[in-house]
Amino acid sequence: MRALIVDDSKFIRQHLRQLLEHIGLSCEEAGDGREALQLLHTAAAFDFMLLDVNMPRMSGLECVKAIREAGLHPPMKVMMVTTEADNSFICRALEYGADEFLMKPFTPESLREKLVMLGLAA
Amino acid sequence: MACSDSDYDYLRQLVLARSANLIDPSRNALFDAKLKPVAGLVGAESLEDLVTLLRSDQPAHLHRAVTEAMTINETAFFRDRKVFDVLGSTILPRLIDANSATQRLRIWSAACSTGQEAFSIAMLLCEQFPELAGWDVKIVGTDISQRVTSYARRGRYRRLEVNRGLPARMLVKYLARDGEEWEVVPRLRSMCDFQYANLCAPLPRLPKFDLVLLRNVLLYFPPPSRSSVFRSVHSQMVADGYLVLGASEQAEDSTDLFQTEFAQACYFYRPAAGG
Repeated sequence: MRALIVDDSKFIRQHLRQLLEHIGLSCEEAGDGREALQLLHTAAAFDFMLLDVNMPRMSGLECVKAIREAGLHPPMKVMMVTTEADNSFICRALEYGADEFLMKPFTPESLREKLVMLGLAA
Repeated sequence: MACSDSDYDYLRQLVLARSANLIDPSRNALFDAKLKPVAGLVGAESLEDLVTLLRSDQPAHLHRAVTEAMTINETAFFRDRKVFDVLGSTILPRLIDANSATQRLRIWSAACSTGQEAFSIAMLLCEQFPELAGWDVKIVGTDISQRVTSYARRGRYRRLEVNRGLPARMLVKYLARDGEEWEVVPRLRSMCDFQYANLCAPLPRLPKFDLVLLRNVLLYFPPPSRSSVFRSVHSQMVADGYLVLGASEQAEDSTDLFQTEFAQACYFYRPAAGG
């Protein structure tokens, strides 16, 4: 299983990488939505994307919308990770094509449970 | 906040006698951590002082507070998804078919902790069985801790709780954000009741249940207490009801009142004929 971690904080990307690798996923990283899109155009298929919302150049919402509109890596599951937690915002993310949502702060157990929910972990 | 081995033994016996919760001596540190708030409430400066109070005055409310504090309240929405899959695909359709004449369904979330299991069942019913809209459906959650049943009755959950096991689509459909909490919608709350019950003591007045979820409870109980709980649960079920245990629990070692069935990688139990 291949995962793409998209977050403008290097510290958070490293933290998420540790958690995902512990679960058994191999990871690549991008620092914002635009960099993630470029990677998705050129890289081998990803199974999962962990996508921050507030990032420079291109936000997570814009990114997931662009991915789904362009039909990039269609089976790839996208989970938004953010402190933003209004129901209206979550609805919008789901409408744009996100598959799941994880609110910060979260525990390693809740990340694993979401991956199980998406069929990406046992 | 440690105490002597004999004090730990006293606490262990007290908790075992009142709730059948068997705490191994290797886990004595649990007493230190979980009883600190209880000690603070009664002005005891140490665990030793708290045990002295417990031993001397025999105050029932303090014994109960200690027992409640030592219960394990681990839970999550849709905990162990395989169980909800088998409920949705096999057990609930059979029950709905069997109860179509009465249009009545009673479900018991035994040892419900803070209520996520009961509300998960309510969500499952609303999502997969819209034909139940006109039925008399009640999900009863019980627990030995009044603190957690009060919490469940509020139907309000914090961020770390809604992050666990609850699909985002269900969160926005069935819980409304209110400040830093999310409140279960009235439709689900009206389906669920929560009340105190000690599974190791005579049960309060409860209906006969079509489905009982008793998950991840009996693994903490010594074998004689398990048999006793199975007898209580059996007497509280309809003859063709269903019992679901935790993935690591089984009934056959402790009772012959139930027969085992298997579907979709899950074991579940039904009252044995003549049991």
